Amino acid sequence: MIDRNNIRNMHQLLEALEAELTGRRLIRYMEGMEVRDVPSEQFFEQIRKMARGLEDRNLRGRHIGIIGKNSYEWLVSLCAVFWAGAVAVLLDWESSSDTISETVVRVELEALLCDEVTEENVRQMDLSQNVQVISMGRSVENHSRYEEVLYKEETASGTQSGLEDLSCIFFTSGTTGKSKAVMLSERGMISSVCAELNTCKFKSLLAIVPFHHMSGFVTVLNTFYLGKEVCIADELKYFYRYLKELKPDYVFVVPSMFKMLAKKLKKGGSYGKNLGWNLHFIACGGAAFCPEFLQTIKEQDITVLQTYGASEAGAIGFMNEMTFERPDTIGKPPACLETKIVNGELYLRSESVMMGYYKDSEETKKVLDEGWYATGDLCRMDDEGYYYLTGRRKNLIILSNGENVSPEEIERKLSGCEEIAEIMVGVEQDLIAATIYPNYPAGMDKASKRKVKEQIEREIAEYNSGSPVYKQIQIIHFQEEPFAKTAAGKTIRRSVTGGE
Amino acid sequence: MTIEEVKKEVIEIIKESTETEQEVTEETNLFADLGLASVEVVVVVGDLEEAFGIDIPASRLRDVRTAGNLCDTVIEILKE
Repeated sequence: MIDRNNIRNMHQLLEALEAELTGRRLIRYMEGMEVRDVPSEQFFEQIRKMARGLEDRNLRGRHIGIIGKNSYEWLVSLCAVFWAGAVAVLLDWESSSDTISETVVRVELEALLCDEVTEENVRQMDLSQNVQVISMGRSVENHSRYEEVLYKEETASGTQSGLEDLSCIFFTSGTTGKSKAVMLSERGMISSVCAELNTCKFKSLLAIVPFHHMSGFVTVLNTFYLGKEVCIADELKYFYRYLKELKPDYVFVVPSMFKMLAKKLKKGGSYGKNLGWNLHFIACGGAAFCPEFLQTIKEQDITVLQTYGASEAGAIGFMNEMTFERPDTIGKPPACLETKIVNGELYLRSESVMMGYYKDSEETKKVLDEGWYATGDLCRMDDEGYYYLTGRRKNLIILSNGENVSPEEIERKLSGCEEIAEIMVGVEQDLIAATIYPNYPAGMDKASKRKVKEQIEREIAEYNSGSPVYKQIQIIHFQEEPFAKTAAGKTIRRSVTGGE
Repeated sequence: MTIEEVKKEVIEIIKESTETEQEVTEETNLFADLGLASVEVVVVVGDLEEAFGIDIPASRLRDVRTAGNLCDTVIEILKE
């Protein structure tokens, strides 16, 4: 195992990983129906060569953007940026040209490594002439502003960065407002990559979460650190193909995918073998406490891990094996994570907490104090030390009488009703209001839909009778379409309640 | 394959991919009736590509709401 005490930057960590992983198959991915295997030697050789190309362009220590779908080349690019002692800035390839152009200026990019998919988008950008646009692979067509990375034979020399220097910038994908540029130091990156939270004995991770998310790229690097293999899922639509052909035993997903997997696995058999899969572990990031899905997945002998954390807190967070006894807990904090609950809000402190938001001290001050990151999540702890999320602070409804109401708490109580597909609670004229998307069976006529709505009204009346007056739902709206959601499957609260 | 055969196959793949126990017709709304998340529709598209040996770009899916819309998209691409 790597001794991280002598490591002070990502370059040195990658060198240590190279020494540790020699002779192993490190990465697998698919090109069409063909499976490609990448040994450690090939991966690190390409990192060194690409890093040398970046150094030749005078990009050492500079901010280099990486934009593209999940791919082998993307991982080589990320590691090459670290190897060259530059700052990796991770961009969402699905962003509009305007958003990317704005971001390039905001975080002072001097180069942009892009893949084939983003080429068209990048071409439309109004970039400064000082921003070098570099193709990740060899397949991108040559263009006056597109030049191939020079795969030179020489290796890049070690970097001088220290533990407190900036290593990586990525963006929070909140459900409201403009994305914020989160800065991780070399220390933050090293502690994230070297976290030993995942104690399940998996052999091969299917990397499906977009790499530009913290939980995407850090999970991959952490998998290398743990000495395991990474299968790259570059296209979400071939998710089942990867599970069948690459046969990973571990996948990290977002809640909407977790629910989809549960449905698919209903008749999947042990580890999903009836589907040709070999899935032993599913980790789900974000709140997805769905006991009914847990039941289905556990019946196929698959272990479910619930993870909780925040981009701003780096990769050190909660990781808990879900059980029927406590299906709604995020578990207990690991030893490397300090926690405190102040006025109901959960604060986290660890080596992986961010340095702050890039050039935004005002926003940083709101959430960071002496290393403590205010998560904005409302939380409680039981007598045995298990933590439970109860809502979001920013969603907290404060009524004119001073009473605080967590909309998520009410939503959770009512989401168990069969007739309610989705519910969102908000406030209107100081009264609690619920917007509901009913669960209509296919082809239902108007009269039957009316009956479903009446049943929902009865369920709400029942809820009200058992709740204090200030938590009672006084206004009900029905809507005929599901709520708008982010790419990660989180409901966009503003679209329903007109809130923040 | 005739157009009717393609439609039948598409609907069969939707049912298999999503493991739905509901009846699926061309009028079935994938989101409102089947309650699918957008990620599930993306995966259905992957299964359709495999079954028909075609490529369905994301740009062709923007207005897809019903099973019938998906049938039409597949038929259009097969004709090209």
